[in-house]
Parts: sequence; C-alpha cells; structure tokens
Amino acid sequence: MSFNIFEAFKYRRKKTFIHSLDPRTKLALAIGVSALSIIFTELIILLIIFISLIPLLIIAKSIKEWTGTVKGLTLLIVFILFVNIVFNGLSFAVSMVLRIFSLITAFSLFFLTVHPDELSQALIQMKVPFSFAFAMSMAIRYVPTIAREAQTIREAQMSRGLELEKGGFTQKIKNFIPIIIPLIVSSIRRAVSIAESLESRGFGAYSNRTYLLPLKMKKRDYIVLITLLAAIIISVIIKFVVGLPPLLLLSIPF
Amino acid sequence: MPLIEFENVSFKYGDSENYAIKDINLKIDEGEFILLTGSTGCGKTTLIRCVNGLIPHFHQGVLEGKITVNGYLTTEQTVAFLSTIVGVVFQNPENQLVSLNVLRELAFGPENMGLPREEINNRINETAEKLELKHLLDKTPIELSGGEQQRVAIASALTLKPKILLLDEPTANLDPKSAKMIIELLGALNKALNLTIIVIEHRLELLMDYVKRVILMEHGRIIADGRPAEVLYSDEAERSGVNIPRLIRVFKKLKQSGVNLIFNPVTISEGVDALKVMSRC
Ligand SMILES: Nc1ncnc2c1ncn2[C@@H]1O[C@H](COP(=O)(O)OP(=O)(O)OP(=O)(O)O)[C@@H](O)[C@H]1O
Ligand SMILES: [Mg+2]
Repeated sequence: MSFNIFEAFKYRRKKTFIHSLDPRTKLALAIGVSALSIIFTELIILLIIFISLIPLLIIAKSIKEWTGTVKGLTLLIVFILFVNIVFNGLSFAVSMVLRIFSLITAFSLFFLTVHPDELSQALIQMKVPFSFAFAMSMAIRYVPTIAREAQTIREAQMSRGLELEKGGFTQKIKNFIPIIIPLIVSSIRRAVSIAESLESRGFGAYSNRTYLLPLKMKKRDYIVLITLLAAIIISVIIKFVVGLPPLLLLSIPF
Repeated sequence: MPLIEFENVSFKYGDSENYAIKDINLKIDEGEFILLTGSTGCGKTTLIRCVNGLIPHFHQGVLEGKITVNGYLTTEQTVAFLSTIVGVVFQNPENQLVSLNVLRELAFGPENMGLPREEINNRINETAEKLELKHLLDKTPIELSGGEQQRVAIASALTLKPKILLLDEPTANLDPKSAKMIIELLGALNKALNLTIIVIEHRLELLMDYVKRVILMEHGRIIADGRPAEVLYSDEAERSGVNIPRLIRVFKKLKQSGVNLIFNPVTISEGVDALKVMSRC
C-alpha cells in the first residue's frame, strides 16, 4: 500500500497546460490552496475549494494517478473521519476530511506534474545550495536502482533458505536483517564510486557553475499567480472584514 | 614530451599495508591506444586513478614518485582541472550516470566547469551526434540498455573535451555484440580525434584489431609493455594468467611444436597471412 502512495506522487511525463507551468508557480499554488483550506473552517467553503481543484486535475490529465493516491490513503482518511465524528461531530469531521482532500490534491498535483530536475532547478533558483538540490535529485535517481538491488539480495537470501514470513512480530523484523545489512554495505560502496565519478567531472569545483536549463516564468505563470493571489485576498477580506454570508455558513446540523 | 609520464611511482592506500602499485615507469604519447591488463587486484584501477588525480586527491595514501599529465604534475592540480585533460569511464555505468536524463548527464561536466550555455549545447550536439545518442537525450538512465549506458558514460566524459580517455573494464557487463560495438567506437574515437585511450580489459580478443600497445601488470608492477605481438607471446603473459586470445594460443602451440613463424600474428587477418606464408613454404 505504501508503495502505491509513492507511485501516486511520482512525476508522469505529459504535455498539458499544468505540466508546462513553472514549478515555482505550482508550488505557490499548492501552498496557497493549503493556506486557504487551513484558514477556512466552514464546510461549504472547504467544499468549494476542493471542487475547484478538480478541473486542474482534469487539465493535468492526472485523475487516475490522483485516485490512486486517495485509495492509498483511504485508511488514514477513514480514521480521521471516525475520530472526528466521535469527538467533534459529523459536520466538523466532514470539513476535516475535505480539508485533507484539498491538501492531498494540491500536493499530488505538484509532484505529479513537476519533473525532479525542474524541482531541483527551482530550488537552486530559490537560493537553495546546489549540492543540496543535486543530492535530492540524485536520491530520486537512485531509488529504482537501490530497489532493484534490494530485490536481488532478497532473492539471493531466500534461495539460501531465508524465510521472511516466519515467526512473530519481532522475529519478522529480525528476518529482514540479512537483507538490510548487505544493502547498506553495497550502498556505501556505490556511494564511494558515485563520488569518484562526480569528482572526476568537476562536481562542485567552481562557484560559477552554469545551469543549462534555467527556469523562466512565462505569461501563463503570471496569470495563474495573479488569479491565485486575487482568490486569497478576496477570501481573506470576505472572511475577516465583510463576514461570510449566512448561506456559506450552513453546516450539517449535528 | 610524452602526454603521460610516470617516474618511479608507487602508491599505498591509507588503510593498507602493501603497495597497490610499485615502481611504475611509463611514458605514453598523444594518440596512443593502449590495452592495460593483468589479473584481479594487480593495480590497474589504481594506475588509472593516478592519471586523473583521484590519487592522491580523493583516495588518501602514500604516493611516491612523479606523475606528469600534459605537462602538469598531478599532485599540484585539482581533480576538477585534470578532468578537462583526462576523462574517465569507471567500471559500473550505473554509478556514473547520476542525472535523470541523458541530456543532463552530458551537460554535467561542462556545467560544473562554468562554460557558457551555447558552448555546452554545441558540445552536447556534437557528442550526441558522434555517439548516436540523439534519440536518447530525454531518456532516464534506467530506460537504457547496458551498451547505451556505457555510450552515455563515454559521451559524458567526452563533453569535457579531454585529450585522454581512460576506461575501466567498459565491456564487463555487456553482451558480446554491445561489447564489440563499444570497442569499435573507441577505435573510431582514437582515429578521428587522435584521442589517447587506455582501456582496462580482460577480454583481450576484443581489442586486438585496435591497440598497438599492451601493458601487462602483476602484483602492482608492470611486467611487460610493448606491441601486442611481443607482450602476448611472452612468458610473462603466460605466467600471469591473463586470458590470452585463442588465436595467439594456437600459434604459440605451433611455434612450440617446431613450426617456423616469421612473425607473431595477433589479429585474425595476421593469422590468415601467417598461415598463407606457412603453406607456401
Ligand atoms: N579504495 C581502496 N582502498 C584500499 N585498498 C584498495 C582500494 N582500491 C584497491 N585497493 C587495493 O589495491 C590493490 C590493487 O587494486 P586495484 O583495484 O587497483 O586492482 P585491479 O587491477 O583494478 O583489480 P580488478 O581487476 O579486480 O579491478 C588491491 O590489493 C586492492 O585490494
Ligand atoms: Mg579494477
């Protein structure tokens, strides 16, 4: 199950309007939407926020991946719903779930449509040190490699008689030791050899490093950002200055 | 002046009692294509690390003697500076393809050097063209076949425009056909760019059509260095247990059984010539 969640947050190469936006725009969008869904506690408004995200998912052609994320998180969502019904009532519980849905949607939209390379470039342009951003993109790069290695070690140990499913809880954890230890050893060895290769190509040697593909904000980015900003300002004014119209304050009456 | 020169070089890794290489004397000229071989643990990789400065800058230890590359003492230069003279392709391509796509991999070295974007793009285009990688530029490393990975590793060293290319068992994980293609590519690069190449390889057969010089190591020392016909017919080669090509073993047997050869054939076509001469007399 946890693997599914991971899959659902993984970048997919697609050509859509959302994919073509600057990662910084999408980050602002995710954070903005999160902020809104935290500021507001009213059921109807949270519903509006959530519903307004759906067209974005459709434009990004990511409905299927998003459904995967939600499915992966079903247990968590049900748990939150249940706890809140018991302690805070149905209306609050539903609001809470809507809020979580919006957060999940905003961030899965981000990760589904931002290539890790773009993400690290965005971080660099937001003044995060290159070595940090690079480490992040390299971690993503080596996930499948290490996963494959873990699989190989697992098969090797099982062919030598290791039984993973045997025993009680602590025994089951102990069963993984013959897989984890070789994996750590081989990863350290790999890290040294990666470091050698980086060193041999001048990694981090000069401070005036070139970035071949710098990110540039386009007109569409500004349009999205202005719309987002306007939405935030208007909703804050309505909530704190004007006051919400009674219609939007409706909730489930128990 | 030779492009690479080792004078009485010995090296001991920091955590080790023994010398990994010992009393190495070596001169390599521009444009040479050299096979470096010897049994496991004899110091081939260590020798290569000395050429691009990983020893002593990355691997600590005791280095004796003097190593000069293109006129620079390696001890006085950084690995980054030397990387513009010496490109290295290490044993496992998986560990040197660090980017998420081929384009970025090729750009990585020149980006680190701070070259202008236009220059980087030119180099990528040129190299991708030469190594037939154009159609792979937006692939991730894990989508590539072993041969393609190795070609990308070579290309990403070449975008730094080195004069020297060192390869550590470049065909180790490849099927015979891809292995042959990689060696052919090296032959072509050696000719077209006058690139100086040193290849560490256990499958000697693959290289016989290309190399003019073989260096044979044993226990950290160079025990034979010369034309393939000299080195591979020598007793040292026999003794060191390297995988002497079949063709050469056949002709050695023939010689031992009293057949008179006027030269030592190394390649198939030389073998054919030798047989022709033999059948004529
Ligand atoms: N990083 C290291 N630290 C310590 N000792 C090392 C290191 N790398 C190699 N050695 C030791 O130095 C000696 C020479 O090793 P080297 O890797 O140069 O041999 P090689 O000829 O490349 O062998 P192979 O054919 O197995 O790749 C060996 O005894 C090895 O154990
Ligand atoms: Mg080696």
